[in-house]
Amino acid sequence: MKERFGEWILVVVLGALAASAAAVGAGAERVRVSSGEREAAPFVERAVYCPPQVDGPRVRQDLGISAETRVPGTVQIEPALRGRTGLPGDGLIVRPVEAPAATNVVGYSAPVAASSVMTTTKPTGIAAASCSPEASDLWFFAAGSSELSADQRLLLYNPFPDEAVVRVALFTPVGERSKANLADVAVPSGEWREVKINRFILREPVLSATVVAGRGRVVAWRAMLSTSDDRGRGFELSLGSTEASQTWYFPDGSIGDSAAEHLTVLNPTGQEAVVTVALSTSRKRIQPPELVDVTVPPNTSKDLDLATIDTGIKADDFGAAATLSSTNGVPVIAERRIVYTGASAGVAAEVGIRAAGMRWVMGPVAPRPDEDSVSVLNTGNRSATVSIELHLEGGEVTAPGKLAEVTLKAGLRKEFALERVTRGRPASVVVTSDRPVVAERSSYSKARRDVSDVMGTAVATPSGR
Amino acid sequence: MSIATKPVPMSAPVAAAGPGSPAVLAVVVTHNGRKWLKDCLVSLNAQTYPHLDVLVVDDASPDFRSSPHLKRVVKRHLRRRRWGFMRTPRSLGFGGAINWALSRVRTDADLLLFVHDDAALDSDALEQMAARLAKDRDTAIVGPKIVSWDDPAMLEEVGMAVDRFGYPYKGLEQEEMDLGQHDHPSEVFYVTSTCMLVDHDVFRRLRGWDAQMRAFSEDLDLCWRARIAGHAVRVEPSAKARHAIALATGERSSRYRPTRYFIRRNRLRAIIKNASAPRLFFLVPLFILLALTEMIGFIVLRQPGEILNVARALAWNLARFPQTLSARARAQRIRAVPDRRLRRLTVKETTRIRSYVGYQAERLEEAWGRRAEFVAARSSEARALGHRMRGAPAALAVIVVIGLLLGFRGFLWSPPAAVGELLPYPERASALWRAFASPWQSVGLGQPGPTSPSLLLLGVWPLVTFGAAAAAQKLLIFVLGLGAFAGAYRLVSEVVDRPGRWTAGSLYLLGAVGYSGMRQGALGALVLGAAAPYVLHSLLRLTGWVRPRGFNVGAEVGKLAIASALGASMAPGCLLVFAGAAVVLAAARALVARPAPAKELLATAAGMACGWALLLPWSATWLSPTGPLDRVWGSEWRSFAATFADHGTFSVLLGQTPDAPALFGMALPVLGLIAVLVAQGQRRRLALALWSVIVASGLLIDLIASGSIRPPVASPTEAGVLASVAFAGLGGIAVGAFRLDLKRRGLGLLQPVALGGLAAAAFLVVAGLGPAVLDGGWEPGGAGHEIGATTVEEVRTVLAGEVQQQGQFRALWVGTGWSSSSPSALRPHADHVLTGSRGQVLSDLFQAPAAAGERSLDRALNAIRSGSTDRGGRLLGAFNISFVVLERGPGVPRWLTQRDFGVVRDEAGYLLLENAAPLARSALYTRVPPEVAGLRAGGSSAAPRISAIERRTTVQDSASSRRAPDASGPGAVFLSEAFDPGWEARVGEQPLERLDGGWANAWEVPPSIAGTLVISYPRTAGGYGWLMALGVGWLVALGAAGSRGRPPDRPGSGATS
Repeated sequence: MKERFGEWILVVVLGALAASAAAVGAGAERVRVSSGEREAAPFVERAVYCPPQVDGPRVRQDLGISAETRVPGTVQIEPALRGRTGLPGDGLIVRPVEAPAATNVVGYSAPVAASSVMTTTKPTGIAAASCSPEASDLWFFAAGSSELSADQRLLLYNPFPDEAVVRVALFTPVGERSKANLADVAVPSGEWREVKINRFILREPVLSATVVAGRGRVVAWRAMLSTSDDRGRGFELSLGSTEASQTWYFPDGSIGDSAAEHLTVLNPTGQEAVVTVALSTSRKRIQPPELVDVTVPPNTSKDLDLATIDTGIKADDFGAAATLSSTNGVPVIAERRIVYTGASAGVAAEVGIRAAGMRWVMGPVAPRPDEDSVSVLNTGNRSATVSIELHLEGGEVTAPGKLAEVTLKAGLRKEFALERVTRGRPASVVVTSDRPVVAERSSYSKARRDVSDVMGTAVATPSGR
Repeated sequence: MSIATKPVPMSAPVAAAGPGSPAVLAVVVTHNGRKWLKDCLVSLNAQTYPHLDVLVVDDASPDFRSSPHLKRVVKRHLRRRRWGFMRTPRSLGFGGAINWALSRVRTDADLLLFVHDDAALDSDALEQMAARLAKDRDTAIVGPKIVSWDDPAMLEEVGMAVDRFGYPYKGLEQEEMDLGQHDHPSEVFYVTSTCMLVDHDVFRRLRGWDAQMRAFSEDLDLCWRARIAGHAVRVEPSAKARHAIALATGERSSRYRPTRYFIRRNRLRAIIKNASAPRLFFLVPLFILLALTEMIGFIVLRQPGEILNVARALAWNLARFPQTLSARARAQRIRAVPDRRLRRLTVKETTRIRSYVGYQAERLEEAWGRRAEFVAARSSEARALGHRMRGAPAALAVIVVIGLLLGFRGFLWSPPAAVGELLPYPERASALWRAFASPWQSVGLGQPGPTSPSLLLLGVWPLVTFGAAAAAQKLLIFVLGLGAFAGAYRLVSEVVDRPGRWTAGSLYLLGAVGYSGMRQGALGALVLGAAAPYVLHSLLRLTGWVRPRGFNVGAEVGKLAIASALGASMAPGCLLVFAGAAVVLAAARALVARPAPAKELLATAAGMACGWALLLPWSATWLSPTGPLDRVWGSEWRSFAATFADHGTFSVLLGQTPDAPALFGMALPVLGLIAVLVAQGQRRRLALALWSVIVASGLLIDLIASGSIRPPVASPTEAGVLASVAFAGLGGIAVGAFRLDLKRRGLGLLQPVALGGLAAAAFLVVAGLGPAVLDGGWEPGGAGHEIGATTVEEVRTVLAGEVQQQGQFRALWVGTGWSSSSPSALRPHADHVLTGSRGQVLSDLFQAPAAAGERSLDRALNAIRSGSTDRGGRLLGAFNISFVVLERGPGVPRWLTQRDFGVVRDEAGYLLLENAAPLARSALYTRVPPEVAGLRAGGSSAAPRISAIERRTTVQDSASSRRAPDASGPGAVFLSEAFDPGWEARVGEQPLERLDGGWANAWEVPPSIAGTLVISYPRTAGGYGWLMALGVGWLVALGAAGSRGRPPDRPGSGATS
């Protein structure tokens, strides 16, 4: 009887415990762990890969190397230059590349950004492209041509210890053009290859390209030497994109009588892409009806000639940024090519920027430029305050008052002339903003009678800034 | 000193030699021997030998004051002799008492006669022995023929022989009659101390008896020492003595028990003292090996006390080894005869084996007799079952078998599981054992240190399968499942009939352990799941909930120790969970009835403490920084607690923790309620006890999930194992109660409720298990592992191919898919795993964390992930990482931009990268590679100064050899093993001086030095000692767990009175 009573007591105790624990447990907050910030990386040694010189007479190449942060570091250029060179925080150094090989710019203790400026004599031209901070097994180029007046080349560099084997695929507005000779292009470890596209394909006015590494990874640039009035005269060089995207930004742009701007869209997917292009001037955002819901069939490229479209842009709004978005979610690649035919003649091409950032670095894009400007597009829906600094060789930093804390309204772009500040001296430009923007630098050289430009390199905002 | 009142004149000679015949002093040592002492003294008094004095030494007999006083007894029976009486202050043993007495009397006796108090000499025995001694000048010791006390016609001893291990051999048949067949004087190896006549001078030279031996085998030692000093030992068969063998037969109480302990102990000491050095070199290891074999034999015979005796004997000798060596030095100093000249007096192994086996056969016969009865009973049950298996039962059995095959098809026919902790076995059958014993780890960063003895246990299976690694894994899982089933079956075996037991076993096998553990690849949970029912069973018994007939606390403690050690070998914190369960059960018991006695509660604590001790020295490191328990409840405890977020009391009560098929889990509480409602008596009480465990488990999980306490175990699966066992037991009780108790209840609401509840539970079980059976739910890694065994096998094949070309290296597997989805203390959630060159194998599970090395590796990985470096190859190369196996995911581009990595394979699920800049595991460089110094944990954050450095010699780092010929300075030796001062390097004979090598080990090779470079990690004697102690401890625990009482001491060979 006593045991029976004890059992009842136990049942009551257990029931009460279970009920209260279940009630408390249901209401209590559970321990959750969010993925915390990683420990600050202590080892800094990173290279950016710069293109080899294009094949041609008297081609010259200069590297503009900019510090990404205020932390001083050292730089080594491999393999062209031996030994390390000090790079002050926020500093710039410009070094000519003697050998025709591709180079690695290695930043120790502090990360660096670099751009390559190449000049040619046949035809006379100048072009700049960013050095790539990464290598990939996939590269996209939207613009391009194989017409007689266009000598298009792909520059492939393999900085890795394993051999890369790549396939170059070409896309026209009617579909993909496969060439057996471009199916297995070997790029040995540490070496580079220049693929002259015109040797493999007949004339195509619009010719996009993809580089797919079946083995290894490479860095790819597209170079084109144009010699006709229609296509412009000059040299263009652009770093490819490693992935497709639904949005592309082009902060600079020229629409008017003396310039012909083309946006070429490559759709490498198996689905039809529907894209819309919006233009931004310093005053307003424009949506040309003809650039709404433009279809790009699968595995094709399409050239959008902005000069032939009624954009409604007045003469004083000459500069216009472009924002291309895929409205049906199919990722594409967009590249812009501008042919200048006025007093500042030349050609320039660049693959767009995929994502906005708060801090951009752009190295020199021409030696002793006669015109130099940086264009900034506010991609957000709130006003941004933008400041521009110029970092000259030797560690000098200038920040003219009119370039400091400039308000840029949502969706608009602004072009800042720099030549009066630089006065022909090489300088890197650092654009900082309190809201996401995109930036592009463009220069004109009378001596080379060509225009060159480079998209900004997004860098992390240093702490305390 | 306590000496009898006025002993025989101590200042005057006790015996004076007469003309012509030597004087003899007889020393009789008595201890609790009144019963025989009178006869002994009378026989001495009646000796025909004239010059005999007698000294009686009482070895601290507790009854010496009893009437008549012992001295009075001596005086009464030695009227014709001069006599003395002495008493030792405390018991010193036979030899010790004689040494003590002779040091306190002055005697010029020529001969000493040592006699046991239970021995009686014939009247002319001493005369015959003295005559033999006088006749043979080389003879120093003479013994009589020993016959039985009660039946003088029966022979007991005519001198003794020994084998090489000092095992005594009489050379007599059992109960051999004395027909004069041994009546020729013969030289023997030794005579027993029952009665021996010793030349006093020789005795002095031998420095008397070995007092350390106390009892047994001291005669062997004395004679052995006399023999190596060049003297002979003989038996004089014309002299006869009766012997009662009182001590060995247990007729005399003595503090020198157990007998076999003293015999083994003293035999080993005698060997160490007297065997020549070359023989000793192999004799001692062989002796220890034989002792261990004997221990295993005692497990079969279920005699844990004997195992303990052997262990004690070894430990005693180990503790007194220095003193034994001193004694050996003294004995060897007078050596005049090599061992080979004594070989004629030793017996062959076959003789000894025949004798030993003959004795053990008797014991085996008894033990196997019990087994035979058991087997016969089971056979008849099986036959009866076979007769019943017709019609519907047979069809049901077939369906169950087909269901099991379907449900387990993913386990039975798939390649070896490679998910979570269910990693493939290494290719070599002995790899786990070598990983346990060797500091040269092939996995992890190689820090030498204690490792979980699980490696030893898991290493058994590849040997069983003759090295077939895949079969070993399946066999292991099968045995674990079988163990889990049997454990749950036993849990309720005392209170329910067979269907109830089968229900308990099946519910447990198909529930948490089989389903959740296997799907998550949680080997730790599987092992814990197999051990937990046994632990709970022991806890229930020790806390008084179940008390079967013949309950043996010692055996229960042994079982608890083994089961808890098995569980803790994979999940150390489970000991705390078990302790908590014991407290809950004891408290609940106190509520219901009388609490369990304090002695048994202490035994419970002792059982778990023994479980912890069985895992030493690894278990001593649990709470050290980066130890397995520190991982779980140290600074990272929140990440473990987060895995409990979806669990708590509610989910435990609904049978959803650990994860099982949802409907199946819901059947468990239904069965639990039926058990409480329907069961009666002990069944109901047991059901309440099991419910206590379930509620407590839920409470524990809730507290962990809410962050109120830090988790003692790593996952809800481990925390909920006891609840799962309890539910299985409740299921068994429900079925048992339905069959046994329901019919005794009066008709009422209970019957339909119970019937309906059982039907509902059966439906839920079928509905829950059905889809899992059809899907093959018991599949290793079925719970969300995207990377299957095939992928892992593919990578391993590629790596194996690289081994052929490059030799051994380390491989880094990056990605959470390679680690367990269910964390455990041994294998916490991690986004990278470091393995040997063969790829992920089971020994990786036990890689010892190396604090400084791990931090350095993490920093290198962070640098890669953050993109601050693209020379990750050099950073990782400092860890001898030659390949990176990269899971496809968001972080992949960072790895692909590393300039030191080449892409070997680019597959949909993973990338295999080859590092172009790995350092050798151990090599001689021109200086310490700078990237190594840069990786110094907690050191400078500056970039490692990468520059070319010349590698001059690579040390061959195979398991058997770590040396490089023709090494020369100046330079630096770098060893990519986590820093440990135990590593040593030398060139030729010159040890190298250590350098600051960052996280690893480095040594400086000075100029003008050349020779063979050797890197080693010398083991200490302590290291081997604990290995031996660990084995002994497990053997004792196994023996205790299987014990059924204490066997009587064996009379016979070597056991003197």
